[in-house]
Amino acid sequence: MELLATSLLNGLTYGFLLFMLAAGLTLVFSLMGVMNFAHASLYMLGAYVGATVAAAWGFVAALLLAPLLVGLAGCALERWLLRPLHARGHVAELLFTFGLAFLIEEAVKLVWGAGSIDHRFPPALEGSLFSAFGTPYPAYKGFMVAVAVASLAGLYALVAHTRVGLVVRAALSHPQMVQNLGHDTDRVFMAVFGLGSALAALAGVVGGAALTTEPSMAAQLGTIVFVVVVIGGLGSITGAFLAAMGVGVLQTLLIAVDLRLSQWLPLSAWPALAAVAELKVSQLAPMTPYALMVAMLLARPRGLFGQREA
Amino acid sequence: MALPPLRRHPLTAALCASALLGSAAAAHAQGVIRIAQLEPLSGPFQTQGEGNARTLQAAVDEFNARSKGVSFEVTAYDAKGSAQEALNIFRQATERGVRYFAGGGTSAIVSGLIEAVNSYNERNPGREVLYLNHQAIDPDFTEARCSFWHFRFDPHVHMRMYALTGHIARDNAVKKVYLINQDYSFGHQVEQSAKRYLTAARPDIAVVGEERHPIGRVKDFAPYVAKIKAAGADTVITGNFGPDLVLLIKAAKDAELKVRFYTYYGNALGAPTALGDAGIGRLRLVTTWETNNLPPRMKTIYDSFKAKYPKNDIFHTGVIEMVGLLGDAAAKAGSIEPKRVAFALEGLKTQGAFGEVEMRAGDHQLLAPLFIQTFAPVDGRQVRHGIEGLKLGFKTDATIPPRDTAPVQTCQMKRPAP
Amino acid sequence: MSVRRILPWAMVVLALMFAASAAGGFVVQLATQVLVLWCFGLSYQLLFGRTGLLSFGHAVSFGLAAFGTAHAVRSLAGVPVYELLPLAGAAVGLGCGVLLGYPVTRRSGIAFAMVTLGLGELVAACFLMFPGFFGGEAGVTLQRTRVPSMLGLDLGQGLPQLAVTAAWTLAVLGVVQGLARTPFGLATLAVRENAQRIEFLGFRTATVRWVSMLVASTLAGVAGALSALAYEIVTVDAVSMHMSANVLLMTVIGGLAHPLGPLVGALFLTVMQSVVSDWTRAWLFYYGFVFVVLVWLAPEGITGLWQAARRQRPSARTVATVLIFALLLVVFVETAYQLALGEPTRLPGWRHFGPVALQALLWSSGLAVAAMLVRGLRRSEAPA
Repeated sequence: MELLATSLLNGLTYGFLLFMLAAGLTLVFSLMGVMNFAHASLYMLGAYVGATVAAAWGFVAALLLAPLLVGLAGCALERWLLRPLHARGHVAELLFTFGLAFLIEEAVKLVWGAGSIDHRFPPALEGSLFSAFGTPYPAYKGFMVAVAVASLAGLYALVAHTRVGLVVRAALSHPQMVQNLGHDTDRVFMAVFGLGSALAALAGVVGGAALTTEPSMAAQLGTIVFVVVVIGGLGSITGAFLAAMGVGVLQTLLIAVDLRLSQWLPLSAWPALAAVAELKVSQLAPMTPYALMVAMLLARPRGLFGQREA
Repeated sequence: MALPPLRRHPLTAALCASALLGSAAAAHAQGVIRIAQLEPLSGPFQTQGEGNARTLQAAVDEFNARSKGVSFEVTAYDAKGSAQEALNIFRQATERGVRYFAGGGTSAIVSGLIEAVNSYNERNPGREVLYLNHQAIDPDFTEARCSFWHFRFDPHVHMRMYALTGHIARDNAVKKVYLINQDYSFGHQVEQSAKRYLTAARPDIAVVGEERHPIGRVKDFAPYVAKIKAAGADTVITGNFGPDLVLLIKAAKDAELKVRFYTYYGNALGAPTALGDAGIGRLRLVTTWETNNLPPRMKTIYDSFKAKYPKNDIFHTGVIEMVGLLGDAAAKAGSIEPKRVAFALEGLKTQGAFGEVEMRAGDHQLLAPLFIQTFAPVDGRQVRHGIEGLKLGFKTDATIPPRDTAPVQTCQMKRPAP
Repeated sequence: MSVRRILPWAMVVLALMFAASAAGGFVVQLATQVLVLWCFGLSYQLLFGRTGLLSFGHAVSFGLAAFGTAHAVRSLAGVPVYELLPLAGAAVGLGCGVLLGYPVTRRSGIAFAMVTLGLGELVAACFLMFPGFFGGEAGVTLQRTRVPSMLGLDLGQGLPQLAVTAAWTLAVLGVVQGLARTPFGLATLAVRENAQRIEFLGFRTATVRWVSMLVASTLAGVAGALSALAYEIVTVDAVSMHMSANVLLMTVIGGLAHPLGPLVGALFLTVMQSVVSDWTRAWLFYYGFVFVVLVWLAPEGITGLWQAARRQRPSARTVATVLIFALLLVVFVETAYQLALGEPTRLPGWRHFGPVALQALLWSSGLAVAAMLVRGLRRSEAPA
């Protein structure tokens, strides 16, 4: 029981981190159809810039400055580099962001070195928030959840209750019409991309401190984020949230399961599958998101709540 | 004084090759041993590769400064963590007349190089090359796949585990051990040898869990830590390194899990930095490098390394042992011809980095002292140097002499005629 | 698939082989690598270039075929079938195409790309969990001389191996060229351009895509087999995202339309990886930069640029601008790496600069590069 409860709690926390990352990506994708491969790289940049700012001016400054700087960089990226590629189609944009991710990783290694750097939460956030079933819940995890919830709330409010959000939602389904009505869709796209980048950077500042800050962090988290966005549905923030929670909880709960596959699948008949039979469910747990993504894409490419077909 | 790297010119290579051949004929060992060091200098293992290249250069500088006959010249090549790239470099370097190869980076590259060296020597008698393995600790390379042309200068997985479990066995406080490792051959070997030696040394110790996770993919170890807690373990043995180790111990600290972590790589790849105070007393490791009691030769190497790279650290002795033993073997053989040096290396007993070492003739595995250490603050006496720029280092709990590190030999080596 | 069309290619390849054999064993090995990559790139060109299916998991067929061939060599020791071994690879590739291709090709575009990404990750992760078949981290090694040659060649030497690789690569080229002239080949082009319309004309796009993937996987399997035989070792690298990314980058850089494209890409990759990496640590950066620039400016790749240059010769001014930009960029990047890593690049000259001179060089070249970039971007925005 204790294991189940702590696993659930851990799963939800992990889900919140995934959501912070996925929110920016799904926002950008839902609006512009661009699957931004460099999104995880922006997360990494946020972590590194945040670490540097925090070392000089403190963690709060990092929380504010890093997303701002990376957000501006995102705007510039969209305006100067991605916009000309719109006309050439989604695949060209995907390829470009793929190459960009590559370049950003090399640049980070050059500026900050190839190893991991020290980026941690301030001492105020160390220690535990509360104890659940005898296991303490760290304060910094509570902080991460708070930041994620705040960003979700802010995003939702922006999209659902402001005029800008109205324009954004309209541009999602009828960009030409919105332009005809006199709104500058180009500027809207640029702002949305910048917002998405800023969100990724915010996730980076927090995630980099909670996990590790090193050049491979983008590649490691990148694919999981795609999984979440795809499962949740391309174009839906709610979908991204639910998918992130689902993936987080499922993966965490499965780790607690120590059953071997041979215990509930009759694989012993085939000696060739002996190796498979010996695998424990907990060993396969980190692979479940990928399996889910593949299954989802084959069964229902729109994802759970998607508004547009991939 | 280190000699500058060789220019890429066939004429110079030819001249050096003939100089080498000429010098090899001399009665006393004279001349330059050219080593091609293959390391991953770009890609995911870059820090490891750079560290090894720099440590080797420091060791070579120290040797060349005091040597009267033989000297070393090292050229570092970027193997990029790819076996195929390493084989390309092997082909290129053999054409340039290089006869000594070191390094590798990953088990795959070392495996590929061993095969390549064996094939090359079979197809080119009289022009044999040697392969000096200073880091890949897969036991296979000195057991089932042992080769006359391969020498390993680092204790392998089972040897380290044997030393570690010997130490744990003497600690009566240990009752329940949890094993968590990466799900690939290295992790499997750590897990299996831990079980084997623990049950043999202390049958009363219960192994309360064995966990395998995909390498590099787990971002949140909290669920694993929850399982360790639920199992009631007091000790964890893990072969994890890099982010996998850092995140594991961080999660343990978050959950206030009071266990001892015995690791293989606790002193490297960012683990000390990311842990900070959380690791004190918790993080332990089995290692070949003992920073707190540096003999004069090690001190010279360490100081020259730190002078050039103040932010980096040396964390294992493989390359240093390699230089020392190779130099001694060349002196003993009176030649720098690889086959003669190889025969001289077999059974060679000499002063290594931290004590007497022996290159076991049966399987070409080096027997060296191992140290069990605990992460602790620098206090100037037991912990003399900080690591990765921190005020934290490692305190030595126990020294395991070479003869207590090597359980068995299973190699059936085929030797050429001398 | 007429012999007349293949003949000029065969002559070119033979000439290259003679040149390589004169240059020594290392160049022969590199030439073999280039041919293997060309073969792999041709299969990818069929999938992505012709049918428009952007796959991030193409290395799965390649890698699994390589492992299959390694095991085939082990079990066929003594049986003189060496030259036919790539058929084993082709069979494994075909199997992958059948198993994975059918469900996957019902989607296209971004969905297809994501599915292949997920599948690639799954396979690569599962690899390490089955050391029996996949050899664990150390991979599977093989001795190709165990399987005797049908033609009595001594395959321990580099040159005969190069000849076998060349023969198979030409065969793959023949298949690809031949396919292009069939109605199916034309249908793949149409599916890429306008899938909806071709459905109305009676073709089933899903079937066309699936068959295209089958063929591409089979050819990738041949490439995988050739790779295993050339290097005598197969590691988890062969199915990794790294390999899939490499074939993508390489084919795009070379050009997606012309059959020479993957060859140019393979040459570029090999030169960067094995030659330029000796001179400078920034080679990965240059590689990525070339890819990004080509995607942005010239999506037809290097062969496309060459063909465009043949139609209309670029002005001397354009050429000069490009060269100056390249030079400034190299100076900037090398100086940056020099300052960051503290180790001299092996390009001549940099070791002589002191830190102050390096900083000055860094800033001046950096500003010049930025200025040229901004001007170029502004120009591309201005109405034509």
